[in-house]
Amino acid sequence: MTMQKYKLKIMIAFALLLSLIFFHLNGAEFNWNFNFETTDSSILFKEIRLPRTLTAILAGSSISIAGLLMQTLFKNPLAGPSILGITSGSSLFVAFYTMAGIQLFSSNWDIISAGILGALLFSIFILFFSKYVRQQTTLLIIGMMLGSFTNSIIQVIENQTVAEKLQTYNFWGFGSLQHVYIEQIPLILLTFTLAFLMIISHIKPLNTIVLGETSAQHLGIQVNKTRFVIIISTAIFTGVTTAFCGPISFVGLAVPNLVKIWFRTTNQTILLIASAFIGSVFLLFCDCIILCLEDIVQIPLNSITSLIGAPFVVWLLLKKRIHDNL
Amino acid sequence: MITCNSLKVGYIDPILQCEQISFTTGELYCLIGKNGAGKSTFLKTLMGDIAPLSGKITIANRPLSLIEPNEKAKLIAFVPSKFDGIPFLTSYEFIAKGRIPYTNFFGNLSLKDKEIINEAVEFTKVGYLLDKETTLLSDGERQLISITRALAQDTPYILLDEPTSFLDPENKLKLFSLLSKISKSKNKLCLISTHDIEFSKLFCTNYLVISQKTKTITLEKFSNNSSNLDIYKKGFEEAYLFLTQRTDNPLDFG
Amino acid sequence: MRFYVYLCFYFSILGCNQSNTIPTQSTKKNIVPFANYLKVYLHDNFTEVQIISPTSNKIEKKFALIPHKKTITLSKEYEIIHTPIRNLVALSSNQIGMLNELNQIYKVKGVSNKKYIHNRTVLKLIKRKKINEFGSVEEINPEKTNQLKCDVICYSGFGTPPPNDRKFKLLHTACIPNYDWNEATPMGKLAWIYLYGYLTGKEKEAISYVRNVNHKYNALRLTSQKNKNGKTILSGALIGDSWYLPAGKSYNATLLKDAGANYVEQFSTGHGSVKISLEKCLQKHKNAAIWINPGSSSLRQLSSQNKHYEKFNAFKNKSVYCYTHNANFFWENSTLLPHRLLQDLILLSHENDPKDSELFFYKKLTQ
Repeated sequence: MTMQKYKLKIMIAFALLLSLIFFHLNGAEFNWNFNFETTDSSILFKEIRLPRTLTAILAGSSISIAGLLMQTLFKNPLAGPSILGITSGSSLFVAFYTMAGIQLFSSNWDIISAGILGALLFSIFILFFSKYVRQQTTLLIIGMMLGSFTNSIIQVIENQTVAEKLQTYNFWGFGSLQHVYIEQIPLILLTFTLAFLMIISHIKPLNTIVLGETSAQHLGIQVNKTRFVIIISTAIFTGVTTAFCGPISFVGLAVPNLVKIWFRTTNQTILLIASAFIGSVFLLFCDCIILCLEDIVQIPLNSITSLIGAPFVVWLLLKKRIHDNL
Repeated sequence: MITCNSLKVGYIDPILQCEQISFTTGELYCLIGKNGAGKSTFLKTLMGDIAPLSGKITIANRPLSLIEPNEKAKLIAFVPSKFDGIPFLTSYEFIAKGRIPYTNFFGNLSLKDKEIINEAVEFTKVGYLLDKETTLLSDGERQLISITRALAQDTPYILLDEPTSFLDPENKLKLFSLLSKISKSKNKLCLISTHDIEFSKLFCTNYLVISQKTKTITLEKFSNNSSNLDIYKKGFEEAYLFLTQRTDNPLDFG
Repeated sequence: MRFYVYLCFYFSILGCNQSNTIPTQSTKKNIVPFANYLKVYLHDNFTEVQIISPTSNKIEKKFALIPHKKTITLSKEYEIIHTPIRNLVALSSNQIGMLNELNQIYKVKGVSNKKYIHNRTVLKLIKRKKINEFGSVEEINPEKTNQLKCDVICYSGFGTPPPNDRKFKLLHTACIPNYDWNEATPMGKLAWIYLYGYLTGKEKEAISYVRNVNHKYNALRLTSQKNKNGKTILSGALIGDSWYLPAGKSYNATLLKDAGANYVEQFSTGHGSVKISLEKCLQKHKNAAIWINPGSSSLRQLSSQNKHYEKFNAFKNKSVYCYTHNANFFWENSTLLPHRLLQDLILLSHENDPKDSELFFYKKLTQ
């Protein structure tokens, strides 16, 4: 049956993920280059490579799942995690911290806590609106307004700041998987698991809301509660990732669409798992390219995701001729 | 049985009212009225999507406002006027969503659920559509599977909001005949809002008419041999005058 | 070209001279003269380097420089660097200049980008892939610096540690923020060469170099200040809609004051920059005799940026001077040779139309 086909595809994705994990851990080189004989090389593995790989996996899954959730909630394949203004919240607070010099936290957790706080605050904002707004489109527009509003504030701050501080913010904006420490991984993992469990426990409402909110309501689903859960978990997925890795673009939009084209289903359980795997694979792949080209040219993560992703998705769209389907 | 008691319907100001109407299972009802008369609003009120401004609705002797969403979904099913299809969603998956009020926490289908789905599919004869994606179906086919989903929902009451408006005459006929068959052989209540009086008259005798003047809904019975004009007279006065007298042209906007 | 405008602006506004007292250690004396944000203490068995943050005026980082083969247990607040260091990454231009002066340029294994480099040796080594281009400190992979045996990464600091600071530390690579660009005096800026002296074991050379330059600088300053009739000087250019001028107590204003120039904003307060609109600038400074640091290398380029520039007298008389014709040379050496910079400014503010050959860094803008 079809279920068998899905399982096979998920297995393929998983195998791809495993091999990429090894490749990435090996510093994106083909010959095995690790010995744990010296303390330096084991530190290298534990403190540099391992967190980078784990971050790629977690960030890739988080952003892709967040994108999927937004696309399901808004019934719009163009929705992504940045669409609700959650990323903008993170950006604004990081801008406050790096450029306006508003220090809220001790230095070890600075940018990260600013990012998480911003995401959380803005999702509360969105949640507040979502209670009073009847249509998702309106909510979408509010999210976009919030985005351009914060962008303007950031521009004002940028205009007032000195070059060096601007640079910190810009580099955060480029996105990077390198800046996470191994001791921060459990926190990311914890929040990821929390948000994932939250979504899995609402898999039935999620599978119903595919039909649209009104239909879901007629099938006995508590739509407001479902919307709340979806927004909260998206905020956690996006907020934490954005805080640690910067606003990673494109992945949240592309991966869920890619997965839908490949799996041709609306079954959210399958899409969730597949998006998590393919998201990790995609980000690991991008980071491997960064590692490979490190000696020649430094490419920011956000450039590489779009550079590789955009042509690939366009090619896929043309090949599958699914334009009447999206 | 659905009962409405001194109901006032609308969003802020009442646009529609009725004294007392009861619908019983095993019957087909047609709701007719002009565009903007409040047909959809009335149906939404019956679905519990919007609360009545005053008055009471009881379903199976229970007040509508007190029924839990999931319980309500086991009592009333709703078919919208148009279903556009959802990318990658197959007809079978779509029909299976009708079982959601009955499934477990994760929404898995039990054997019994599958049986009921198959039964509904057999009844509407849409077996040949099951593996197709909903976006690839024709409007008529999509309307058929929407009704099949409502059947799979296994409710005593089914409300349909202008289900025939996007269909060709052949499909309109087919749909009315199917709905009449459903209400008779499955002992369900089907309430259809429609403008297709000519087709509906072949299968339906119970009409809920929204009067233009008084903005009230009344339940009228038309025997099978009463003419279309009798119905027009109740619900579409201007059209009735135009068709019967033809003295001048009341529809002339000039 | 925008980049140079930016650099000029950056150079002119970032002098923050805070004279607040910094908590110093009671027992030993800081041996670095002039500098506000770098302190070096000589202890019995190690050298302590303190980097002071200009924003908070507190110690940002403490390093213990310990000779190789020696082991000392120190409290955790120190980051340990074994000296002389094997290799280093130097991300800003004047670090290259200082290391070159100390003959330690061969220890550089990484720079920011070759387009900001003047030094021939470094350019050659970049071409041969012996020196990496890292961009900025945020972009460096700690694994790479470990491979290259770099003990130190020197970068321009701005208050927050780089995101991978602790990862570098675990691999025994120290990240040293440099606040030379925050120093309010040319000599304070130069004194940062002490850091590179102590890191590379060339401290004697560094100390004598500073002493030497200070001598020359003071001699020039004293002669120029006897001459009271310095010309009026306008500095900077429009960035966006604002004209940025060095504030009265900034590095650039100090240089102009030492040159005996009549700098238009010399009495303004503040250590950073004065920001005024074009209209205000025209009103106040239209008649300045000399215009320096516009960030362009030709008059045509300037007027294509903004037609209103032509209204300034200095523009009309073609008395506009800048260093952008050889900007990388300026960035690498102006810190190192403050007396030559001062000499240029003295010429500009006292001589009538000095020849390009007389000027060291500056050049008159061509048509």
